[in-house]
Amino acid sequence: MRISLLLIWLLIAGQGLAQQHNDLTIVYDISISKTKRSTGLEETYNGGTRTVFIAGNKARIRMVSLMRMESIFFEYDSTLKQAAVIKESGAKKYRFNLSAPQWEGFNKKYEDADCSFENDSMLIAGYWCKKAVIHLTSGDKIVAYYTSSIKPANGFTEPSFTCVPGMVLQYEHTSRRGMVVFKASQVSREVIAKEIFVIPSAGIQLRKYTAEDNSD
Amino acid sequence: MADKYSNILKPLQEHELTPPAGAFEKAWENILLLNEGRDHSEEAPKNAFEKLQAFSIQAPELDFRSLLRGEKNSPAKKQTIVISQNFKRLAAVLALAVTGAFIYMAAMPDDKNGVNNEQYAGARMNKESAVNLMIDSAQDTTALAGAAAQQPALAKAATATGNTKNEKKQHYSEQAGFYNNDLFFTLVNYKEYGKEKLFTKALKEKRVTLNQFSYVNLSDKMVAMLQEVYLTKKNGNMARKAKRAKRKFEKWKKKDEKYFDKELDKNPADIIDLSEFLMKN
Repeated sequence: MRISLLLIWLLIAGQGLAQQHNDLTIVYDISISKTKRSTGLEETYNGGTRTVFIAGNKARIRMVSLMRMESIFFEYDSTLKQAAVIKESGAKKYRFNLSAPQWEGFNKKYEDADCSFENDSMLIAGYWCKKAVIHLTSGDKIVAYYTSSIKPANGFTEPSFTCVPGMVLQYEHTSRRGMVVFKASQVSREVIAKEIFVIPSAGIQLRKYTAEDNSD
Repeated sequence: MADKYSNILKPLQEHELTPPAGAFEKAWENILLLNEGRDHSEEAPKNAFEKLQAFSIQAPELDFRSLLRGEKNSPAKKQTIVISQNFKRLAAVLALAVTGAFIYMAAMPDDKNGVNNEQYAGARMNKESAVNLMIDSAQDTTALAGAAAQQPALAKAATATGNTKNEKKQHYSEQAGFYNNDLFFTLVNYKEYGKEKLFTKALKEKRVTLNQFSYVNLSDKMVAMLQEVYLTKKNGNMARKAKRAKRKFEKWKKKDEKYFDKELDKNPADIIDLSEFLMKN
């Protein structure tokens, strides 16, 4: 009996270790609609993707659109160590680094954001999602649909969703002139290649982020 | 142990001794005398067999019960215990081996050859930069071949990515093809940069695919606008509409750079910043 229990424990522990990667990739499709009829600049972002890669203590958000490609690399332990923003496209590619307080300052608009929850639900990328409305201090609102089946990304990676109790798979911002929607089209648990988290340096100019930080 | 017994039993099975003369008759007589109460008649053997036919012995109950209870000292039970213990030991060894394999797979670094090996450090760096510079394309094979020829490291990286030992890893290789990774610029100026195939493919599929997780779906409006850029007059020169479209694109590019690249306080991947920018322009 004891031997059997020990064996079961060892097997579970072994499998647990083998599946401990917890890597997550979410691809959000961007769709933009404007009230005005004529085709404008929004078409250069419409149809693009925003991909979130999370593995261990690293994360990366990559945005790809016709107009530009940009990535934000994160490295953290219990707190954010550093965020690096890289413009990957164009003649002048550049990078700037942000310390944890600077990153907070960069996302100051999400400070003290509140969530309210509604009963609506929607099936997104195979997950049933509940509706939440994020109220920003500026008066802006983000309508988000989240699933409790996936552990939410930490507040460093997605500072706009700190009050949402699950992984957001769709979010939208509506204004008088139109609407921007980010909707998950793929959720992958496959192991992410290490190279994805390597910050490129060749041919990239290092710039200094000069905006005031939020530390005081 | 088993071999020892089989060696004894086989010759024993074949062993025979010839009884002394008259021994069988004498024995039979004694049996009849003992069992049949000294029946000397000629029918004695027949009677003996009939009685023997009707004879029955009640099987001892205790044996069955002990078997059913599985008494510890019964030989059958002992054999079962021995087999059971051997099976458990074997199962334990197998389970430890499987667990060990799981732990090894989980803990083993992915790039065994690359880590701490200076000889390959340069190649690894090239691979990383090639993957991360994301010289993307819409799978234009001509462009890929050209770019690979110019950048052997990229070709090497592509091979390395293809041969990765962990096939469960996400396929994230990207192909070269876009000038400065700039999708918009390349599509608008495809003739100048020899990207005809790339342009045709993008417009036909209404999609530019960089890899499994990065792509751009082109709206009908955008496809129409891109086609507009290449309208020509009868003499082959750019049509007025085309010139206007090109100027518009350049204006958009400047606006985008001014908004996101000048002060660095806006983030295009942020929905509020992006929405604010797009709705104003």
